[in-house]
Amino acid sequence: MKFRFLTLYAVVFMFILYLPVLLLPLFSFNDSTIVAFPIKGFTTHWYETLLKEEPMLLSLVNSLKVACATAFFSTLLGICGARAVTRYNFFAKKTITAFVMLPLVLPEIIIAISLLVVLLRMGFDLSLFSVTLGHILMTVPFSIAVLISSFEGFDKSLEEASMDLGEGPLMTFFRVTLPMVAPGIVSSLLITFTISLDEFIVAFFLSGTEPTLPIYIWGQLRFTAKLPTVVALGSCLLISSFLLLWMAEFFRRRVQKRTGIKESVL
Amino acid sequence: MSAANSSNSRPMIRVDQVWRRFGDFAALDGVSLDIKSGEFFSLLGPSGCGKTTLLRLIAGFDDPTEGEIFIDDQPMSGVPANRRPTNMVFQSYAIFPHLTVAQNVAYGLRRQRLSSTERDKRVQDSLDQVGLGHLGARRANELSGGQRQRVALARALIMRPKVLLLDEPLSALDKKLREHMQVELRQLQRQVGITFILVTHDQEEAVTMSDRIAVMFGGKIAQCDTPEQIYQHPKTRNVADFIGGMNFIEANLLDQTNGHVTIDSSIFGKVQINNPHGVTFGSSFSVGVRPERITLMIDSNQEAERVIEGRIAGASYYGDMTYYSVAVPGQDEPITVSMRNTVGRRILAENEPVRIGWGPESLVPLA
Repeated sequence: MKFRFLTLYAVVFMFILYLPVLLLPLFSFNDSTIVAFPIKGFTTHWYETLLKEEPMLLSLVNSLKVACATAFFSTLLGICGARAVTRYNFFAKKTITAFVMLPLVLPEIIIAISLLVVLLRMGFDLSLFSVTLGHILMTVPFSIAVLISSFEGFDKSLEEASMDLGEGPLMTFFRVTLPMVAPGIVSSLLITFTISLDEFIVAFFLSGTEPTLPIYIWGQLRFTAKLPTVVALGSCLLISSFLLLWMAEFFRRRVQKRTGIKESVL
Repeated sequence: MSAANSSNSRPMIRVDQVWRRFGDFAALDGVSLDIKSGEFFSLLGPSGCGKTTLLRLIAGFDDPTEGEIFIDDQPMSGVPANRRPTNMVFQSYAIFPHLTVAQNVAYGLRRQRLSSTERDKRVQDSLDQVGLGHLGARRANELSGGQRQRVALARALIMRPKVLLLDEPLSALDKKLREHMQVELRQLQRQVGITFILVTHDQEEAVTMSDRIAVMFGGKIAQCDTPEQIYQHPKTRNVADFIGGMNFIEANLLDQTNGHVTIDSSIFGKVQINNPHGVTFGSSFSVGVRPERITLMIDSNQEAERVIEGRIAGASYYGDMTYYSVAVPGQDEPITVSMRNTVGRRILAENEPVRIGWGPESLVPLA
């Protein structure tokens, strides 16, 4: 009896959790300007108008630029950070690590406002560059968390074996360390990319005159007539985010398989 | 390959007053050691005795706090691991999981800029040498424990090092395979003539494989000698206890002269025994007797130099041998005596009265 109750609970829980999300694609094909039941008929009209929306395409390009730069730089910083945490001992290591990981739990609005104040005081113009800076700050902890498990997962004596066989520290990094953590790096790139692509608050405060995709969507919500188009756009984002995270998880599991450890950080 | 014989007396490795401190703790406490060229040398001791620390200092993964290590007369301080003429077989084997067996073995050859045919030939020779010639294309994670170990050996030996360092290489293998690899490693060492340094906590492994053993306790070398000398003439109680079984009997010193001590003990009485290490003893110390160096006299007509009366307190049956503990008046701990289970010999019952035969040459004074 107990088992049955828990099963029922789980099913209801999942239903409530995912129903609104699953309604999104459903309404995107609904032949009506009102996003509500009953469903009127099937159409791909909203997807067609989406492709003709010049400002939408521009903001998409902006978002992709920001997301690519964010993924690259936060993963680069993440590699350095994860390696430092797992391989070296230094002064106040725990405190420094805690502060680096802090944006993981810090409210985004606080990050956004403080960055806004600092950047304006320093005389920066708000642009995609400032959004990227904010996103890097936010995503580095994710990158470090993913990469720490890759770095921790492999035997330190592999690096020693490489040194023992005549390679210096640099070649050891390229011939042993990097191939070992490569799946973790791919996973980190995908996760940070996805986070940056979806991020709203920091982008809202720091983007200036160049909107990213979430900012554009927020702007469109004021016009009821455009709501179905936004729903169509949301469906596209939903699918692409899901695919990216699925790929990230796939690569993370490959790390586990390669290093033979069972560990999950995310 | 006769380097081993031609220069047998020259030290390949000299460890000179080496200290390694971690904070207040001295992992190595002023260790000095000479290891000859072509020797199979073992560092033996319980975990935490400093044996692995010493091996890592020789390999160059760590630096001594004080002292110097010489390899082939070259001082090694400031020389990183990748420029030392040593190669290591790691306890975990450290096989690169992203490479094949052949790529693993060829790893260290990159810097030698060989032609690809020359390189492939050396890899193949090296794999053949360890009996894995047919597995070159395998991925490292498709290998068994024994095969991994062979890959680690081939990968180190292909570098033609002056010294091969082995860090507990057999500890992850099951008993049968371990015994097999002991013989094989020993043969391989004879064949290549390279100096081998083995770190182990397994006394049997050290005794069967090594030319010489250094027994370590608490960061110090307690005794460094051939396996036979260490077994027959242990210097300290620690060494005697660590290698083989040993009965310890408290004794009082009556007299010590050059090479001999005269003792008085409750069960052996007054007797003069050899003091091969020339140790100066205090007024009371332990003497040791190996279980197989005293005999249970079960036939009434059996004779021995000296005899102790006792009773059987217990028996442990090992198949080929039986170990009896014999309660002896005047001794708290029963004395362990081993007996071969030859044809027709019965197992003695508890409380049966027995006589133990011994001679002064069975007793070892222990510092």
